Amino acid sequence: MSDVYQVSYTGDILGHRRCPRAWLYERHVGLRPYEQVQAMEGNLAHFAMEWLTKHYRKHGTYPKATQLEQEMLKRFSVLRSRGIRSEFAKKAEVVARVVEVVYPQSVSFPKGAAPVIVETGAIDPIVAKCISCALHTEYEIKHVRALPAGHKFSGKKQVLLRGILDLVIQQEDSMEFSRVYEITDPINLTGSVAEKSIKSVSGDIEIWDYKASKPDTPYIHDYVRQLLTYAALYHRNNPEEPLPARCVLAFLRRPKKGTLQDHLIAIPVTQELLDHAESWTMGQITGIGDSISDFIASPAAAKVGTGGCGTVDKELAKQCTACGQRFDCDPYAKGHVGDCDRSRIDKN
Amino acid sequence: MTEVEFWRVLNKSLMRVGRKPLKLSKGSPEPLIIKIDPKVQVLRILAGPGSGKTEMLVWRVLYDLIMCGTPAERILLTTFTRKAAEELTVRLSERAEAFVHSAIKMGITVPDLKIHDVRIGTIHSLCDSLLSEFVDAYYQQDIRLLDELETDLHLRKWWWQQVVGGTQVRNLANRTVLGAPISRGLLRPNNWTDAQISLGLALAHHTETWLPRCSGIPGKPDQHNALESHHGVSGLTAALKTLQEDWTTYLLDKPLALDFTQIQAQFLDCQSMMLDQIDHVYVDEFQDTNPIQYAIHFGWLTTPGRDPDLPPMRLTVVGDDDQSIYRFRGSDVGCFMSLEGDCKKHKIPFRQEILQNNYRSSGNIVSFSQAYRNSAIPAKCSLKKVVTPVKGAGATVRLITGPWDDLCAFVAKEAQKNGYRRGSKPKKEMATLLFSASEKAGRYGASAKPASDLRAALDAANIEVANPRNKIAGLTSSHVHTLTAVLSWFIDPLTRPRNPATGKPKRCAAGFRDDSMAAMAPTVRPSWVPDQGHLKVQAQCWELFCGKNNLGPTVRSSDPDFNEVLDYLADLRDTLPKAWVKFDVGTSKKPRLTLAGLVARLISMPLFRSAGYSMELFRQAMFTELSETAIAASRSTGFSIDDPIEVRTDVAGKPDWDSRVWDFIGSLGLMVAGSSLNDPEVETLQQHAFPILTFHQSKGLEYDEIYLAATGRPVDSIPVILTRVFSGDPVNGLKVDSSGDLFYTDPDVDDWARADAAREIYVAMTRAKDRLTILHDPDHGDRFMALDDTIASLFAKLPEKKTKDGLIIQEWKV
Repeated sequence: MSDVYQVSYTGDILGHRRCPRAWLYERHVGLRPYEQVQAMEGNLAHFAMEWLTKHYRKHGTYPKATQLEQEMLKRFSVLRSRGIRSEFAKKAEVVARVVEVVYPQSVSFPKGAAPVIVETGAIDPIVAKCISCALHTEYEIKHVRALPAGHKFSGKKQVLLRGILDLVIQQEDSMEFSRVYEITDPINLTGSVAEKSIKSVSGDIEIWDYKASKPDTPYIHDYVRQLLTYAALYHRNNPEEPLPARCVLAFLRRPKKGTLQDHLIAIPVTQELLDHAESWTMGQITGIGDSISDFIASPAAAKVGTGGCGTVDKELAKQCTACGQRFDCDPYAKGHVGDCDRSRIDKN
Repeated sequence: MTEVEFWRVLNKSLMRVGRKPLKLSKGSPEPLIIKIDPKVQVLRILAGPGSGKTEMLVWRVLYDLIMCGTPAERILLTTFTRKAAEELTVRLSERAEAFVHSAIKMGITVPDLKIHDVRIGTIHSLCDSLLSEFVDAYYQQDIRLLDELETDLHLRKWWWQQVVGGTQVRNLANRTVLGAPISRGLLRPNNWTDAQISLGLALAHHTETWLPRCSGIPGKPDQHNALESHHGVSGLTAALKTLQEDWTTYLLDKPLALDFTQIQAQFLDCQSMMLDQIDHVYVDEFQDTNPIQYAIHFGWLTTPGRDPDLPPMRLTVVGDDDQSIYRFRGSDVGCFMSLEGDCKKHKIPFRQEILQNNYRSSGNIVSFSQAYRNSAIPAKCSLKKVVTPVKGAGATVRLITGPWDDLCAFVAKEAQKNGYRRGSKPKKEMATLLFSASEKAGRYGASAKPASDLRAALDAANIEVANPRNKIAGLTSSHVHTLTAVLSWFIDPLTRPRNPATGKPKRCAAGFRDDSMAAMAPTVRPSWVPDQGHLKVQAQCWELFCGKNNLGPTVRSSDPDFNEVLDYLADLRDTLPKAWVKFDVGTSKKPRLTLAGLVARLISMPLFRSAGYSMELFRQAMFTELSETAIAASRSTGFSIDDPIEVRTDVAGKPDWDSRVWDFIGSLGLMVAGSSLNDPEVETLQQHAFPILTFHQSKGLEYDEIYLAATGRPVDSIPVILTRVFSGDPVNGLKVDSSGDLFYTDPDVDDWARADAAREIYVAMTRAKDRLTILHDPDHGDRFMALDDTIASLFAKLPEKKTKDGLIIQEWKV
């Protein structure tokens, strides 16, 4: 039996933080979730960026909006057949929204009609920058660490932390960020987003992560910790490179007003923050071990969500509505009896 | 970094991870293995058991990255299983990090190793990812790789299509491939196996052995399968080609996927397009390579077209021919052995290094296992090597003879002494290894189940047991079975009305092929007949919960939790079609309930949710995987497990299910009724549990103490003959008698078949670190439980002692 416990940052650490119960049934036991609402947009957005980067490296040019659309339509079908679902009802709309992030002037949404995508229209300058300055895309982090003393991963000695870093950029010239995540509690890595300008300089290493949601997500603190941990592990793998100058959260849901640049949040990096991020992550891994240990004692008593007060919070509830484990989840049922009614057939 | 610095940092890193530093003196094999000699293109590392081969392979990769500057993404590291690939990934990451940190501490600069870019995986996954990356046509099609379970399902579905409609393919299979007595004798011994399994075996051999060895050789016409050219099975080669094409067409049309064999064939076809992308291929467990995999590995060296400005392609393979145990799955140890000769033939510089120190086992175990190997494996079937123990002599190797029940009690008693008890950590890790660990009746005779007898003895001693190959997941009492049965009942309930013609009660269901009985079913008959496996599962489940022949919509069980599930599904069967009818006339919203959503609802009910933290809970997870496999793969139909379950009613008000619902239940039934389901390997349930494992499963593992039993499996020459004939080579005197039994006069076949059987036992015995005990019940009555002849001869003249329990012990020592 292997002495290594494998942990994926997004699937396990973030999933477990949102709802230990759902995580335990889905990831630990393997009861497959039957719907992954919103996963479609995220998956398509990541795929789009990866495809664009490959295209740029191969041809030295950016593709046309309609070419991207064709790739996205193909990808949509593949994902759908694998059970990935969208928040939006129509394929064309989902694809158009992703294409719009890259080519804002090429896409329009006429009222009551299908979206229109035209060949003309320039690529968004931020996206162009991500593509042309990419040092690595989809950089896979595999990091082995000894498990801390007193952990509850019976029989395991080490943990293999896995994550995929969307993009590592080495800036070629200056770039301005208008929003900065300022950390006020460096131990817990919490803080707030400030409207403040910082500029990158040529040669800066930046760790970017794409998010399919909007920047006002309540999970922003977790995203910051995730990125700082990735930056720490990236730096461990590349000790000869300078410390990454900053991490950047890129929220790809196009803002109704303003530009994509307004959806970038920069997180300045220091070695101290990276150390704290690693410690925080190891603490979360220990928490996963505790949850498993409790689950072994009684699967029925698995803890639910993060809202406290006996009910799930509003943000989590959006996901609970599609959770396969909701039918006997008492805290969720308290506020959402209808959602947990097995006889309902108008809802999956 | 200089060469001297590399070795200094390497030894520091080994100490950092708690290992002994390497001896760097002249004559020590390790540095010769790790260092890449520019003059050598192919290195074969012949590594005996417990010799630390994986560690050497990992350090050679690191040398390649650090000292040769080979870019990480140009290194291919392949091994036999996904689990082994994961372990290699962990080991490589760990050693790389230890190396970088040791170097920094010593003030030595290390370049960015980009370790995450090394391509590590099974050969199938690597073929898939390389094809996706470098072959546009493959990427554009977005072909998916089927795992073994899915392949099995699709093979059954494909065959079922032939049974109900495809005359040409069915005739080719039944008449040409499986029709001749000699091929039936080889592929369908004693007629015990299903036609599609035999066909799957033939197609796998055709692709994995015949294709690389007999076809596409420049300047030569395709050679016939030897069954055709020498043993009179006319038309076989062409028939297999046609069937292969039809099977591939089915895969690419319906699930848009390839199975493990097809992906390799596809890769071999396209290999020339990737020659410039890879510089060094490393193959672990090379002894279990099959001919098509060998063609791929060797193809990296010989396929023309590599850019001459690139460094010469390198191949490093590691393995032990004496541990080759997968011939039954198509591997051929001949690949391992022929590498040197093939290199000579192609003038490729070759070298061999031998790792002969055994760091794992005590002197007595090494000595015994070597005595066994030398005697049981014919010399011509094994490469010359010596295995030297590093540890002291240790405990004697024991042969304990007595009734099986007493032997089981003996094992339980010794396990207790070593601290095995529910919930506590044992002092030593022990395991029992059997040829088959199945706890289903059958393998060892109708009622004999040695693994379950052992489980009972260990249970009685309050010892937790882990036996992932117990094969009881598919039994009627399993949740997999119950979930399938209730879904089958929901869609196509079995009832037992009176037959109007005879007045006697008779089972009926809409899925029956008999028109009159199907018409009496409470569900509208589907437009085509799906496989009826689900009805078999349903009937067995009802027998368990409600009693024999107690079928019908009003039947009740004594288990209220089961009744709750039935009531729920009966209501749903009533309301769902009505809701769809209302939707059709525009008076209601579209129903959104999907099959996956229904399964999620069922699993939340007490019948299933009360499983606690047990294997039953994990079998539910296995069921959700099966149900997803059964439907999500059907991409061409556009039906996903997340699509709403569509159902209408006929004029009589009977539910009339969408054809895709029938497809789902047919596929699921095929899978559950027809497959041999293994339990999921749940690590937390195995923690501190006493393992009962098969010989094959034990490969790659080690335990302080091993009990070895069921060493008497009869020598099976069929896999050797299959390798031979699909390689185009005849077997002397091969014929079949009127009762279907095979005969041959080829001593070579016997030698290789004996070697295959002995290697399984050799692998099992070399897992032991401190103590090896062989168990034997001479009166067990089952041939698999007999004692291997060579083991018997090694103990033959040793004195016997009697234990208090009446068991006889003989001890072997150096």
